[in-house]
Amino acid sequence: MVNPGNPTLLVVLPLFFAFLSIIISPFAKKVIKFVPLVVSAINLIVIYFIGLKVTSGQIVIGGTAGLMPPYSINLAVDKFNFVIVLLVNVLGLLISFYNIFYVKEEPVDKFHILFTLLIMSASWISVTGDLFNVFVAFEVLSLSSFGLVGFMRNSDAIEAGFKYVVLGILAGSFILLGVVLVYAMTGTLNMAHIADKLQTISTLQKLIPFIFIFFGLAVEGALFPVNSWLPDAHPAAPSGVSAMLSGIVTTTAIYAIIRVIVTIFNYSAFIPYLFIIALLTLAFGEIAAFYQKDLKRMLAYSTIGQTGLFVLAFSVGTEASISASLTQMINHSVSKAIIFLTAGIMIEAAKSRNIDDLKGFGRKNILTSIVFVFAALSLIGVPPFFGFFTKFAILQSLLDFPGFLGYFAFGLVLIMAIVEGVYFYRVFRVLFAPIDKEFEKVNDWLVVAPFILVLILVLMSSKPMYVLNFTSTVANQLVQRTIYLTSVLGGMK
Amino acid sequence: MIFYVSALLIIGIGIYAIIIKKNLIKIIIGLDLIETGINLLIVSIGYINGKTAPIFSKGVMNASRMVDSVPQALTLTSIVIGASELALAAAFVVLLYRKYGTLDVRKIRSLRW
Amino acid sequence: MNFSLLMILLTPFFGGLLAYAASALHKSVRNIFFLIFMLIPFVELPVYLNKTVDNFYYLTILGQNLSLGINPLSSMMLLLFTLIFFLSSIFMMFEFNDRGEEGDLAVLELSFLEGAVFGVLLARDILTFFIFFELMAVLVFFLVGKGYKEAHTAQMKYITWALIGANSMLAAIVLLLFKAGNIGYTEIAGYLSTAPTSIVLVTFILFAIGFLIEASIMPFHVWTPITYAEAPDSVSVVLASVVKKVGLYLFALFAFSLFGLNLFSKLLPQVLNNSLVMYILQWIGALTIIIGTFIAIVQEDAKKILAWSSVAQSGYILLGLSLGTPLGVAGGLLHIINHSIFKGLLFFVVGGVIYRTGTKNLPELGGLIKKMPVSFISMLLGIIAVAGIPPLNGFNSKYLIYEALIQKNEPILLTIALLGGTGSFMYVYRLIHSIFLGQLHEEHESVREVPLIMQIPMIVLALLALLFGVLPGIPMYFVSKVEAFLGLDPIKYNLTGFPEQPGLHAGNVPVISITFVAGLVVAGLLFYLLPRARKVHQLDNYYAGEVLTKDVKYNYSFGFYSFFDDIIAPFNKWSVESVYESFVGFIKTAGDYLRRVYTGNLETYVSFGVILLVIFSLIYILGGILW
Repeated sequence: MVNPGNPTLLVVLPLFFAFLSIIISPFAKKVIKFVPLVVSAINLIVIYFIGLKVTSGQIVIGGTAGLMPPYSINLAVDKFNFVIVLLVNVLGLLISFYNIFYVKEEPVDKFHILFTLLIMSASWISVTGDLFNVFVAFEVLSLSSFGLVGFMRNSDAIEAGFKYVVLGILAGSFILLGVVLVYAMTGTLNMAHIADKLQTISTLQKLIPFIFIFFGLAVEGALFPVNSWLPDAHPAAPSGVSAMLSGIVTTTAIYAIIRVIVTIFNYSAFIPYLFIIALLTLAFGEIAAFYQKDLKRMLAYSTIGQTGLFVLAFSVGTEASISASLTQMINHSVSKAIIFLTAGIMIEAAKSRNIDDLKGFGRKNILTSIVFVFAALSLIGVPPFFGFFTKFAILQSLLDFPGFLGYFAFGLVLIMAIVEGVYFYRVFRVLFAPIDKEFEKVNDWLVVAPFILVLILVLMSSKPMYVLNFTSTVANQLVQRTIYLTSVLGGMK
Repeated sequence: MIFYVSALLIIGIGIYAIIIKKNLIKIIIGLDLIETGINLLIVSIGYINGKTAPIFSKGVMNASRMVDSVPQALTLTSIVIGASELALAAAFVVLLYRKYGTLDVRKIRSLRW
Repeated sequence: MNFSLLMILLTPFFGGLLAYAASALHKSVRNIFFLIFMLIPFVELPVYLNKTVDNFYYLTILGQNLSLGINPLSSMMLLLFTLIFFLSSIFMMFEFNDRGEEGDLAVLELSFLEGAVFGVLLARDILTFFIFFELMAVLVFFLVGKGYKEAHTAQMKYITWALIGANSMLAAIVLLLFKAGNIGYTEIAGYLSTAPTSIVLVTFILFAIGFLIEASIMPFHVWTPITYAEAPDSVSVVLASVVKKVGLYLFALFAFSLFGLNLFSKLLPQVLNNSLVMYILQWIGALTIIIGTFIAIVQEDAKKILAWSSVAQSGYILLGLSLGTPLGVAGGLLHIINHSIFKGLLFFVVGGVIYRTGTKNLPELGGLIKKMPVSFISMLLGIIAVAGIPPLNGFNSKYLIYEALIQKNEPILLTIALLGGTGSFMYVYRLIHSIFLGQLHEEHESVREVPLIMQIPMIVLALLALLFGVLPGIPMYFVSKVEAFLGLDPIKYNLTGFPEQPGLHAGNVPVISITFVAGLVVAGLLFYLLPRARKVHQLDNYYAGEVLTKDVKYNYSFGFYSFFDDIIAPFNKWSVESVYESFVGFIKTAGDYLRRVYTGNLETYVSFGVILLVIFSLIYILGGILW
């Protein structure tokens, strides 16, 4: 009997369903709509079983080809992976439900197949324990998101899609280059084994492969200066996909960066540079967001800013700061997904992406607007929502950074919080202003998914310590690399 | 050694093509060049002097007589991925040409700041 | 029945949700629930009037225990605010009567605002008050949006300033938590008494920025006039009487209880027998008084006059509080109570006038004394209170502040305060003249008095102003408790005045009031008994060689104080608002340049990445010089 807590199921089953859908799609177009939903539901069941083991401190290993690592490609799930893959699939489940009603442009079935592949590859990156697997999963992720971004095939989508394609392919190639150089240095592709071998190599020598891998992941992960495709691509995609991109893909890429820095390379020397990159990302993201008139473009820049924020928190380097950064990642993924989903509803109703055209929407559709307001307030960090506690934790940890740069970052984060607040409140004001035009009727089922997510958010806000405590255990386990190494290499040494 | 240098050279030409060239097709060819250069680099890293191809055949049944086989697997995967990516990119170029009527990347600039 | 602090805190939230849910049934059900839950705190609070409760832990977050507590300052303000909220909710029912769903949301938001205010007052640690303070800002934002035409500008101005204040306070809170390791008020006070001067100064300034923005003190007052004027009238009452006072409450609590005057005297140089920080705050208060008053005089919009008047009166309170002596602090605290009452009263009257006539523009109003007599009497009492004349309550607090200034030997500040007093009479007279006296406009022929229930807020506050004016002992009871709590010697008083307090010369306020009223009675008798007056119709008159007609108004309504405007015209060009405007403009252009890094050019995007790689390759080649 198959062990239900095997991480390989997370990859294999969605892939199987995706191929099945391609085969039966000429015959059963109506059914394909439900495939991503089913896939993420099954994934969640598997994750539940994995979670039972992981939360008690174990690391779940999934071997392949009947061999144990490092002779085979393996998947390893520790608490950090568990959080990310849980996030991917919960959001994937609810966003696929949203997409069932949202996507109307032909060919609908291809959209859902691509979406299944997106969920699959995001889960795959989150659970893999092999470096080349990261590259392959990353490429599958890129390919499915290329297709999804360009799905609408209007001039916006094609232009954004093309720029994304060029940068995405470049990124993938550089990741491959980095991985290959690492292989040349260490002779193995298994993460734990590489970590073991890299301990003896000097910091300077590790720089070149690392910087290639970092650059490749940073393109997808919205870091300055290579995030320029993001403000074009996220708005051009259909809203369900934007939610997925901003909420999941970016977070997964940052997860991969963190895994590479902490577990594999153990690269504390690079951290000051990461700090500066994160500061620039935060500043440019929020400033650019302030000037936008297009709602989704504003949200895309906001994603850039928020990513800068939690990478900034991570690069302080203490355990508390890693925990704060992870919590903020969770908050951002959930909130940004909700905001994009409700923005999709609003744009459907107003037939325009311009903020001013949404005037008065809130007075007729109170539920959608309240969901939007709650999620945005959590994103900005207004108490008593969950985002406030994450922001507070981040500010606390920033003071630990030595020297003037710590206080500067502290001040910058607060000033950017003001900027962020102003442009979100601007949208609130427009939403509840007096109405001057008629809005179209949208499908009532669309609001179910953001509503459930908001309930989750409110639940987290009422018990913030529950999440915060869990993330500090995650950070704890992350920092103690030896646990990971010995668990995975268990058979070897 | 010469393989490394030439691989890096090919990658360099590819990057040059992406940044400097204005024609969309040339940009895609640049991407292809980068991919090819990287593949070449991978295979050369795996080469061990005096050994032969990693295929079980008559006279070569022992793994110690073969070059490193892992990079060859990596290369195969990478070639496949590269091919599909470039196909997608080419599809985008076709759509761009239909919408804008030009292949000049400087003219496709409506999304900015 | 013993009500826990948590229950007091949660009552308004629960009431708001219940009322909103009830609005699905019928509007009147919603209104009934709304009012009932506004009344409940009156029942819950008296238990705590004499107590100081600490350490009611209700949540543990980030390793810290969040707790609620109550002290004399909070209980005094809680009672006052419950009254104001209740009266304002009566008014809101009428104002939002025919606005459908907007009214339901407004009811919900006002209840939640009350809950948030309670949260700030009941907080016993720096994290709790901040959580509820920010919640207040969000709710005020949404409430203001339901107002008049320019409400959207007001919303953005308000929230920008509120966010600046909130983040400034957040910086101070995180800093204090980092250094002190605990968030409770007493623990922080303990830490601050031994902390280095730089920390004390930095945190105090950061907190003060937050509080003074909320209290609309210069130079942070720029959001106040437009927000008070454009908000719905019931919300304006709450803004002026409650939200502003929360800022001042926090300022008083932090300056005296957490930081402590002794700390300031120890750490900072002394100027004229005050610590430097307090001295600067006194001057800021004085500046606010004088500038607020002068700008109020030349306004043409009724609510704007009241808004600028609020700014000026905040200056009085700040002046009193930052004097630091028992007299001064008593004056400041008493003025908090008095100002809430009479400013609320004035806003209610103006709101009633707007409810009946539909305009708040003074040149369009006039002569309503015959149509709205109750409003007229209420406003008359209100403006006497603002001007600081006995027998109304404004006299007591202003008197205490003047005496405190004399006691501290501050002639310039005293002059400014007195000028403010005179000036305040000028603008309130304008208000009552332009609305009630003068000639009635034709379109207002059919205007009647506001509905009976709507008169209740005005009458209650007017009577309260009169009562507190004649018998200052009643509010002084609370004030002296607060003074003792804050560590000062409470000033001696009795029910009718301050006979035993050394330095005060007015012993018996009722005697003064009776003298005043007697004077009026004598004047009235003379007027009616001496047979030289004859009643004629307003238009049956002869004026400067012309006979009056109905369409030409002969009373001043526009440019009432134009001579005054000419006097202060040269000073008008120094406007705080224009400084901010140019600063904001500068930041906007700078940001606009910065954001052009996202050029839209594919080559630039790729070259950014390549440059990044090149930089790091150089680092590698140069052997890690930057490493």
